Amino acid sequence: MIPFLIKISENEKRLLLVLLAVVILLFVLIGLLGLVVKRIMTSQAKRADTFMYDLVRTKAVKSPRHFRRVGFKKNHRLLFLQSWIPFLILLVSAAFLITYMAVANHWDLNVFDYFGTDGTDGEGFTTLFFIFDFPNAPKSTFFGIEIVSDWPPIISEPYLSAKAWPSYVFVPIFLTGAIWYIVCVQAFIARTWRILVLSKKAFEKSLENYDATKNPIDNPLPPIQ
Amino acid sequence: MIKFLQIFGQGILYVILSPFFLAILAIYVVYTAVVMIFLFLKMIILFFAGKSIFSDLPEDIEAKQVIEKARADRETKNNPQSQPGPYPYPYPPFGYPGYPYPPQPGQFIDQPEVKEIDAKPIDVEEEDMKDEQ
Repeated sequence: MIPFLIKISENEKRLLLVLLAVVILLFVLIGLLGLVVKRIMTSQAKRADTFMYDLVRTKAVKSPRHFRRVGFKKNHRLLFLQSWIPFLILLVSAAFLITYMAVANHWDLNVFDYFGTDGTDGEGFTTLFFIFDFPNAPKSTFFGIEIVSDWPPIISEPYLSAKAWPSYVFVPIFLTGAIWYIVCVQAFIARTWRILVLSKKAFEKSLENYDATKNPIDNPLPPIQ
Repeated sequence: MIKFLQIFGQGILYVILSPFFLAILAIYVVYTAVVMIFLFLKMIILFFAGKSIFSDLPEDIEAKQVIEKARADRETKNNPQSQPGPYPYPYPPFGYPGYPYPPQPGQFIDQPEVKEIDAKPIDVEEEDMKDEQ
């Protein structure tokens, strides 16, 4: 193995360095993205504290099980309040596409088609983007592995197609609704997790730093808040 | 540098766990869609029954009552006012709530304005009638 490593050429060394830098950068970016998502979810989960605060302080909820039951109910209501608009957007966009396909009797409409019959009459939203031919991208062999080493050739350049108007209407509206809805679902997951954590934490009885000799037995009740 | 390595490590962890995250997200998307449809139907049914799905839960009502009671207790504690009890005699003294002091000499009392009307003396009218006859 070591003689093989010694044999690598200058080009291979450079490629190795670039590859390493790209991989490190990629993982750091993913790590940062995860950090941002984590912070957003932490702030979204604070709503669970808000809607359960009075109930816990006034002892209206009396046990972890009761806490979870009420918390989940309120969480469902908040989900409904937050996500009825994106849900409606999704339904409207789906209804639009189905209606179009029914009226035009065109049930095999592909909203991601970019080519059509001759590369100028695609019926999908991807007619507005560059399409790369990734399977035929230039590759280099590195340690016996084939790695993409350059930009792939372009199959299709952006153009407007009259046949694609339903896709132009449907895809942006659907994507807006879908992303909005996923953010609402993410907030729902964050609150659910927070409710599960709080249901244990709010009723936890800890003997940490408790000194039995300093606490008389004639006052077993906890101090009133 | 340690922070950078931590983020790098977390990046590797997220890549490894991403299929699980996506699976959980997909499950929740389906679950929440079912919840949305269920709550929508429930809202329609409750609407025709004259109720709302967003009305207070029994726990909310209990919490509000406790808070109101605590607030009232605190206000009573901060503003101790001796409430006047029932007076034994039918006529309570002046100054008792509902029984103001009588007007003092020289005190101006509000009363409706009296409009002056120009009218002829009655005797003059009778004399005129007699002369015409």
